[in-house]
Amino acid sequence: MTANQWFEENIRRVLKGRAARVASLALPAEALADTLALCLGALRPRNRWPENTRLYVAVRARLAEDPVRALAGLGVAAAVIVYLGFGQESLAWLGSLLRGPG
Amino acid sequence: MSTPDPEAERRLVASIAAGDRDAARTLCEDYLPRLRAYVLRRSGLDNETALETAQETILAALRSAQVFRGESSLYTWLCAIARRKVADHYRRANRRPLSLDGLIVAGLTLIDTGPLPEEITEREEMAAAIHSALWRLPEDQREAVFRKYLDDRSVAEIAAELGRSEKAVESLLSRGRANLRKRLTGKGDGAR
Repeated sequence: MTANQWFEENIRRVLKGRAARVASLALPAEALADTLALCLGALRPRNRWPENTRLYVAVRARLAEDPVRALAGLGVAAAVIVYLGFGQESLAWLGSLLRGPG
Repeated sequence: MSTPDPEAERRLVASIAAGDRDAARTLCEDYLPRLRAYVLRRSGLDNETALETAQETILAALRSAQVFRGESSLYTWLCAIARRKVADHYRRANRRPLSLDGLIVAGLTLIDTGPLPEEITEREEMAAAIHSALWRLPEDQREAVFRKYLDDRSVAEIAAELGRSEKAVESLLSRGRANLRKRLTGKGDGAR
């Protein structure tokens, strides 16, 4: 065995020996709860309206994921709300505003 | 381990970026045990420090969730963060390397025979010294060495995983071994 092969073999044995020794070490029982507490503390403060609402979280998540689709969805939802709240004339009025003069 | 669903992973991370607590809980439950095991296996850190490193990794992922693009799996992304944390730990620790001769002789003696209690301590020290030297190597060299000698990957497999040519990987391994020797003998610090 050459000096290089000896060196390589030792590195392999030391790394594998260490990996085998730690493979059976169990996660301490409280580790998950502790980490979760740290994580929740690190999240943005969410005790204010509207950040504590599920709708806000859902909209933010969709916006981060696919902004174009999320904005299109919001636009459609807004148009439906206007239509249901104020009737067809309100949509015609909004349309005239978008068309501009003439 | 099942194949990760990239779309589900992107949704999970987007929810975390939006501050969703349930998503943060899922991240902790799914990845803390795996990350701790990864750090323990790939470093010479003790049990407690490995757990802290895994926790720091999860926290760093929470804070930078908006930059996750899903180009790699979530676990791969988390492992990359964990490796930076471990490397930072070793840079701060500034441990003095042991002599190479002592390591090699001790390595063969200790591993080939049944260990006595004091030998177990020496063996741990030897592993710690080698990890300390390994974690000071440039990242590409270190990853090549780990994949070759710990994960038993062939040069071709490492090349595919790292997106390099086989020749480049052989060069990385050669430089990695040379730099490791230098660092173990205290003859080199900034080698590339």
